[in-house]
Amino acid sequence: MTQLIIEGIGETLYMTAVSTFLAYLFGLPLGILLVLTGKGGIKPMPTLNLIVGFVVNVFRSIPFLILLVAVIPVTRAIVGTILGSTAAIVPLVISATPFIARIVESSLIEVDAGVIEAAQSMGANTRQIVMKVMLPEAKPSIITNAALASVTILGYSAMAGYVGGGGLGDIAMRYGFYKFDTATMWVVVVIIVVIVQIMQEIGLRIAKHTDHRAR
Amino acid sequence: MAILKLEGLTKTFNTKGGEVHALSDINIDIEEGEIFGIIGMSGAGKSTLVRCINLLEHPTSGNVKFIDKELTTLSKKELNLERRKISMIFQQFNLLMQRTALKNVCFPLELQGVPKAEAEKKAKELLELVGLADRANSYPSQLSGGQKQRVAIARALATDPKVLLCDEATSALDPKTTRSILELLKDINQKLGLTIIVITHEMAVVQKICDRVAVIDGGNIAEMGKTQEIFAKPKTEATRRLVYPDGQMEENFSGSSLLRIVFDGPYAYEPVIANMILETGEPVNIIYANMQDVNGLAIGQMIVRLPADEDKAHEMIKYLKSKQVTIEEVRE
Repeated sequence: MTQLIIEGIGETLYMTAVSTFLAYLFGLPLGILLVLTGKGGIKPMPTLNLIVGFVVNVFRSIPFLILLVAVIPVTRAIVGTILGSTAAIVPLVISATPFIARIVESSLIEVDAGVIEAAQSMGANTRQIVMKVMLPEAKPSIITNAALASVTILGYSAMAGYVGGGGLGDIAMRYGFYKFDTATMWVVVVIIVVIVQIMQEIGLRIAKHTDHRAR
Repeated sequence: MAILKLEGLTKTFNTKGGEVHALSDINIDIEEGEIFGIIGMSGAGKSTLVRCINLLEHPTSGNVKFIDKELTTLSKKELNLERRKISMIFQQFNLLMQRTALKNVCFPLELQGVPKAEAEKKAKELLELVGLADRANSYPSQLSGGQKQRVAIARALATDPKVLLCDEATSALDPKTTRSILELLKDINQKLGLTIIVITHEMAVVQKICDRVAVIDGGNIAEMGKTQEIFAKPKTEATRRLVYPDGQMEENFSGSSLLRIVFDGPYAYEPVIANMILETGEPVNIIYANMQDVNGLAIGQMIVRLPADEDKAHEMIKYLKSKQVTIEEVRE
């Protein structure tokens, strides 16, 4: 049983880490795009902004359990199977990317418009403003939000267990729900709580450490 | 030679309430090496005007000629190259909060791809120039307002600009810090021959450092000229509002006729009023008086109530005219 739980922790962390990473890989540029093309952005493009914003909202609106089933063909095409932790990463990424795009957008929109104007007055181009002003200035907020995002993804990964995704959620389902092994179920829940606490704490500490706005 | 020529500059904003004419037909020639003031009440259009100079705001029509280039026709890339020669400082400093003072000064050099070691060397020199060498590794949150503006000035100087735009640069600072920042600007103007354009709503700032000034009101230039002249002989209502430190003063007093007397030049140190009273044998009521240092020249202004006796009043005006002080009837 211990062996099983250790494996479960490994699978959960694997799903969470890889999904968070991939979701940021797609969500971060999307969030930047939303800010740049938005009203008051430095490259306003209302139509593009509207379309991207709409697609993001649509994907955010679909309940995860439905998405999990709906993307099965996509999962099979990419991973080759619909079972196991790797297969669970596909719906997790699809679900988390639009969420991350929005929280990145909210972090970046906080950057003082005056600082961006100052950079423009120095002749900074759009790429330099994004890379050297917006992202570094918003870094503490982006990190805090990354902790939030990874905790959310961890929660979703437990749900992925429901459809054979493996991980702690899978164990809790199989032993606790189907076999009425309440003890195992609670152990697993406590482990998940501890992991969430640790992730949240690490995120906040890094954010605080890198923030130079107030000491 | 004019380093910057604004020709027929207009800016119209389309808002829900219709068109707003922020600037209409602005013509200004800024000479190389001068400190030029642009003063106006808030909402007069001065912030829009300064942003039209480096094209943070695109003018609706008109030209911005900088040395030999017409900025309004440049491509984005060419404009970014020219912007390095026109630096800007702001009311809210606009420093990067996640960078140290040194790294903030390095920032414009980084944008140009200057090697790190070279950029840091230059940044250190500039921090030295603004008197902040010992705070190089401090973050903006650890600095006072005046120190932040000094860092911003050092940052603005990093690219060896030809022109420095100051957008209400001292408006967030206390009077003492304002004075020290203005002294620094004047110092830089003299040491580096840098042309400085100062945007402000405070007459005291213009008086302190500007060679010439344009008074902007309702998107138009109300008047423009040498600072002493504008201060001593305001021709328009807009200027008068700025020159009288206390706006309501005129309304507060009723009486026959008020006279504003400006003492500039040699008479500032002569007891003109005392002599006038002795001469005419009639006392006057002094309603307001102050003495100011306008760009190194002592200028006094005084408002007196003339006696009701018209002959006596006339005699006084004649006496003052003979003394070549500037007088002006104040409307009530």
